[in-house]
Amino acid sequence: MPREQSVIAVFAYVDDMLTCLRHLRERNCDIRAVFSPMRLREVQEIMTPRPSTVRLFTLLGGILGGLGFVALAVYAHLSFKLITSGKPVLAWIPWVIVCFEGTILLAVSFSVIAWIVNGRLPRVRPAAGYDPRFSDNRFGILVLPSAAQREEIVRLLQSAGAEEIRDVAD
Amino acid sequence: MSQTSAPPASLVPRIPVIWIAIALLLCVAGGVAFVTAILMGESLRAWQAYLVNFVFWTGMAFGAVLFSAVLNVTGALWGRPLKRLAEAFAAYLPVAFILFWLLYFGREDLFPWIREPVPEKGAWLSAGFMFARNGAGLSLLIGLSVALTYFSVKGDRLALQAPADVTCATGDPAVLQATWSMQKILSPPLIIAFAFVLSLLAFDLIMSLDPHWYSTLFGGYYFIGSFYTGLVALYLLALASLKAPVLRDHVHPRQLHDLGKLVMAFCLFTGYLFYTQFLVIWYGNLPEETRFVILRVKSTPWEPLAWAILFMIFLMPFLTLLSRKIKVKRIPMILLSLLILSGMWLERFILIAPSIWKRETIPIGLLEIIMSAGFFGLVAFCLMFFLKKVPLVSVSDPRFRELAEKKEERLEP
Amino acid sequence: MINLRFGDVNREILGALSAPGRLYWTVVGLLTLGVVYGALVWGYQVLTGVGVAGHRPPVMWGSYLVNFVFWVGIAHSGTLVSAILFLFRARWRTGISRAAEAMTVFAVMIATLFVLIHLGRPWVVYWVIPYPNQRYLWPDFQSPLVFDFLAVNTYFVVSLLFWYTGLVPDLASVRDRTSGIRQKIYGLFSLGWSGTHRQWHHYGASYLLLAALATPLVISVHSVVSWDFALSVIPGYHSTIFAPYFVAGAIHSGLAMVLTLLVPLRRIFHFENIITKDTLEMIAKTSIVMALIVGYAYIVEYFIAWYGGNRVERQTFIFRALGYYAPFFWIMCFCNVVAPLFFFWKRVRRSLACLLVIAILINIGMWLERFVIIIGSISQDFLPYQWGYYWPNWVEISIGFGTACLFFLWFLLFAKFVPSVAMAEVKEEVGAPMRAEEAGRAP
Repeated sequence: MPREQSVIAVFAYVDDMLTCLRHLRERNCDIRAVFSPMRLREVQEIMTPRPSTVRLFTLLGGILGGLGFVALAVYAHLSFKLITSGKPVLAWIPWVIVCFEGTILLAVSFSVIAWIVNGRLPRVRPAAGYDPRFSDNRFGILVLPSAAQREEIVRLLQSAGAEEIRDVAD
Repeated sequence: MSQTSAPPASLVPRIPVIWIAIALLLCVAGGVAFVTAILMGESLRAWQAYLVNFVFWTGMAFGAVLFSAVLNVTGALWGRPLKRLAEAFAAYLPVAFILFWLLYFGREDLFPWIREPVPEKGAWLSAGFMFARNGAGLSLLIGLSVALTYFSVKGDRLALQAPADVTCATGDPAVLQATWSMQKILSPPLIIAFAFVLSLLAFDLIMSLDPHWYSTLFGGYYFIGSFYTGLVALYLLALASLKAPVLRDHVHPRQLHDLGKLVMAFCLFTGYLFYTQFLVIWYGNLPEETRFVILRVKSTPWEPLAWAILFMIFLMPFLTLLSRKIKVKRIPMILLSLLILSGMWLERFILIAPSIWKRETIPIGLLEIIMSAGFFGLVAFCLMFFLKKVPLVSVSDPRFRELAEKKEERLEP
Repeated sequence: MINLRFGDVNREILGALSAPGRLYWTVVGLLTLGVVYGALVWGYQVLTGVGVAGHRPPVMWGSYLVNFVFWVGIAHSGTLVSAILFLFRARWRTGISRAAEAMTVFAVMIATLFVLIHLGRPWVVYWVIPYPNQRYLWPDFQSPLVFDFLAVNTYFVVSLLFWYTGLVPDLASVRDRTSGIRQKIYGLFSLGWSGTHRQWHHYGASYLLLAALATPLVISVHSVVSWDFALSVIPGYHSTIFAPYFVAGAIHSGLAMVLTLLVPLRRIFHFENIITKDTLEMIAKTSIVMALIVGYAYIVEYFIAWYGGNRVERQTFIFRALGYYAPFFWIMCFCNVVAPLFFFWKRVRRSLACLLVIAILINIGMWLERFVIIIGSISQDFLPYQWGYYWPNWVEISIGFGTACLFFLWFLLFAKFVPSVAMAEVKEEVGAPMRAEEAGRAP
């Protein structure tokens, strides 16, 4: 039985790539990855309709940071009650700033960690099928066709205007 | 201005006569309530309510017109369909000018430094000089606002007389260029005058009610708050006018979403300015500064009102507008807008009233409600009167036509 | 706005990363010497004591704090350009965002350095970090200095992460075009980025959130720095308008520094197609707005100083305009408010020489403004017996010079080893080639 091998198609024109992508989606082909040198809204619409979980992590980080910094301030002031210029021991008004900085700091940190981890990074080597031209001016679609569909998919890629089609060693 | 041909029916909303009648009725009711209160001896309360309303509605109107000026200066595309709605508030401004001069009759009740002059500030705090300089400032700002609106409308009138279909005209005759350049020339001075004149109004009409208190940020706090109020009012007006077909064609959820984001931004900005003023006064703990704040935030009867205001103008809008989807939903946004506008009214109230009202209870009752309704009716009447006579979207604005013709942007945050 | 073909973007921008010539290395060498000199003088100061810097009553905060506020201010417009303009969907930011963010990161680092430099005992600076310790001491979370610590550090971390996030796809581009040890280093920093749809999806979501979070941070950081002064009771310091006034001033000086750096950069690297004159013109227009806000603040402060009736406050402001440091005040008014108004004329906005000259004037004016406020206010405060004047001496000037060299050194290294224009964003703006369009254009 022939092994299922991934196929990478390189496109020079973005509309060719998008049309091809839609056709592949219609045929329920297993699209492994779509490479591009910049973010494409159309690709996101086709491939990842659900919003990213980065948002949730950011919110979580924000809440943790805000509460955490204020908790730290409360703990510090209760441990060491240094009364300066008549302010109360636990002064909420200036601690709006402390809470705010904590919120932003941890929200941003969590956000960055989330996008890195969600993107399955860091990696030692770039993803399978990656071509250095993808960071320049070419687009790529990596598909894993089933043995039955292989011929059809390769023909589809050719007719869609792919510049280059080759097999990828997994 | 000699061509008085009415714009085509497609560009003008159908405003039921009953609304105009109700507006006028409210206006009359407000006036009657005001006069009755004065005649019955409650002149301080009446004038206080008058001042709060004047300061609130005038600031709001200036803020809304500022939106049009800012659109012109930044060359932004997204908000063009809303430009005429923003300019509509300029219709109220000449009325506001007259209302300002009426304040002269209440000066003895309102301004403590008339009955008890403050010697070291006598040069600044004298009735004649105060009214003169504020009158001059208002004339300047109202003049600029009305001129901006005039050129905007004139451009539309000229464009509508041209034979081509104006919603996709590309070449501009010289007269259209002239009205557009006048708008671009008038916008920066309007913005500058907005900051200075509204600061002057705030210092003179609100801050001087407690002549020994001062804060450098007070003017800024007032005019940013007025812009916030103006944006919310514009949002409400946009929602109310969506029934008109021409607006439905041009005001997409995207415009409302963007306007909602701007409202959120200025909600945060107003909250930030409040906090920075509060923090500096709280931290420095200087009696001459804290007196003002403690009276409003910690003493009876004003404390609960202060918390309510914080909730209404900051907490509630901030938490609500965090959600993306809510900015385009009609009913929640109408409710939120009404909440913010009421909150800002109360905010102006709490800046003014505690300085001059020395009794134990908060003076908010039927008189204030009817008078505020009266002002609302007046503003609504001016808006409707204006919008019946001009195209609802600024068809001669080249950026508006650019937006109408352009394909949807694919790359955006 | 950007006049470049999609296929040329990499080549044009990465062309700047070619092996540097002798002139570059000479300048880097000279700057390094300047940094070393500054470091040596700082070493002298640490060993001898901060008194060598000429700080004495009543002026206990000298040019170190002026420099601190100055550099934090400069840091702000980087985030303004990258984050705030991103949220406004302003197209003109694309060519300059990367360089502006880099400027932010470096300026924040210099500012933090000045916090260390101005301390009397820099070796105990770690006492401000809130961790359980055997001294049984905690920092006072109500102190504006602790707010500073939290805010400036948060700003540093956030700016660094924001800048780095934007850099990852571009570093991957460089990785793909180099070999050997260089490829390994760029590969390490690009985290193995491949540009798959999944990576772009999460990246894009995060970038938007980072921009949205960095925006209030910009406002808050310089507000916190302004509260170092406003939360005291010194006349001239204690003023409610300080927070928005300082933020506007920060953006003003930051944009001026952006112009100062980018006008030469675009000439040297031939980025005229990317950092177009339209972009520079937009920066100039924004400068006008900031100049007007700063001018408004000057006028209001003077008015309220008179209106408030407080004799000490009135005295401070009269001193500011007519006293010992008066020339600085008037130069400052000219440089900060009057000079940028020349940008109202289109010819001035589009002339590179004028842009550079006015930008430098603004930077001088903003430095003088910090000087006038910080040093002017405390040199004549409550007790006439305590009035005294101060000038930066050779120690302070050397250290200030050394840190300025450090800033420019970092920026030069950045410009040569890291893509100084956001390639992925430029590609997004220029738009990918479409076969349909090419067919239409075929001869």
